[in-house]
Amino acid sequence: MSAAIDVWVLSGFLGSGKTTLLREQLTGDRGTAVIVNEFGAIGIDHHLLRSCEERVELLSGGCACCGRRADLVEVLRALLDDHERGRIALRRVVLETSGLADPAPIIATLTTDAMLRHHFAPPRLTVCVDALHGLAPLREGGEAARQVAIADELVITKLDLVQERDCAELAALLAALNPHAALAGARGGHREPRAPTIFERARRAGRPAVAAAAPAPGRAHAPDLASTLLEPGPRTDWVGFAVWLSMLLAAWGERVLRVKGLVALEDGSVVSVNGVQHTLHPPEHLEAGALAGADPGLVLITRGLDPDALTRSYEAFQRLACEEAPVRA
Amino acid sequence: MCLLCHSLAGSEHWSDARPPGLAAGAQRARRRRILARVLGAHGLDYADDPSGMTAIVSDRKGDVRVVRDLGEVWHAAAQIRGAPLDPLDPAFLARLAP
Repeated sequence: MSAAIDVWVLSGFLGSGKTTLLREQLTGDRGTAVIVNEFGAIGIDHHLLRSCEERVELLSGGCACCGRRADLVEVLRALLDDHERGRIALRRVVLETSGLADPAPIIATLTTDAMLRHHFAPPRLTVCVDALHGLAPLREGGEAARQVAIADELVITKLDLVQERDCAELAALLAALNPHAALAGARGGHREPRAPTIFERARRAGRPAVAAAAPAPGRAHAPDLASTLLEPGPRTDWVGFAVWLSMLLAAWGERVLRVKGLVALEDGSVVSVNGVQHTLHPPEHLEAGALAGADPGLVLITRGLDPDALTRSYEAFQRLACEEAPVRA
Repeated sequence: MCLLCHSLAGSEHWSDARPPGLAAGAQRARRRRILARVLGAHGLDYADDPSGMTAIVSDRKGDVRVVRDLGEVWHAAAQIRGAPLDPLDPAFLARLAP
């Protein structure tokens, strides 16, 4: 089978600069198909993008996550068919979501479809955050906060319109919501490899072993969202871990917004775990030494779950696994 | 498809992935022992068949469910008990301790 096709899901709240960023990213690009899911009857973004892309598919009439997942599957299968018949040379698919869409079911659709998951790589989720107007929807703790919480990467947009010193509260909130996402910036629609220092500094300051998104005094915050870093240690029992995580996702999957990390197992190998809500990508078991230079640990971003309770539960299952299947000396 | 039981081979559950040094039989045996403790703490039993294709979750009143992977284990257990099994429940974690 040929190499898996990359999938990039670009999300962000309404007006956060997704289309501007996407247009710049695609200038001169070859082999990328763009799927736009514009909320509303008129897909303006579709017309903007069409001039700079090889192929744009518009899913109109609803959000990709709630009503059009079947269409999304159909569009992706059609793209794959064209690719395999040689009509297009597909290297990457970009899915720009509606600003109101929850990306999690989109990712679940891509991951669970029996055909698509064998041809497309696990999607990478980039979320645009408007440096000028992004704070208010994040404070409300609704869809905007949820998008940030499950992102692989956050791009702080419209940096040309604000002073860095005015971003302190936004930086602190992003660090609390998702301290482990990669950070980048965009100024005037041009992507920059690094976010301003204030965002990096806030993230470093807000990355303790167990970091609840507690409100700063006198400030609104995203209610109930918390980031828990489990540090499993160097000899985790994989079976005990899998039993625990599957049980947790079965009971609380809707509240476990994101699971991501590297876990070192008892035999010296490393497993890469990556999931959104109920959906876990097939864990990737890596050879010993794969952890070199990487931060071990498992991050769980949750809504309404106590980080201490998660840690106690995880540790109880690891103790159980050791009792029932002692690690080898 | 299994020729004996006519069960269709489904897609692999993520938890069936194995580290390089763990044989399938050893993985199944570990899982059986751990699940017996976890489900036992909820008044349920777990048994798997030698093929590793299916397992059974049951209570002691005769309610029996056939499952194929860990995801189905929790679904079946919740159906039998009428509520999801909560791994964060302190009372359950206390029962889990030896």
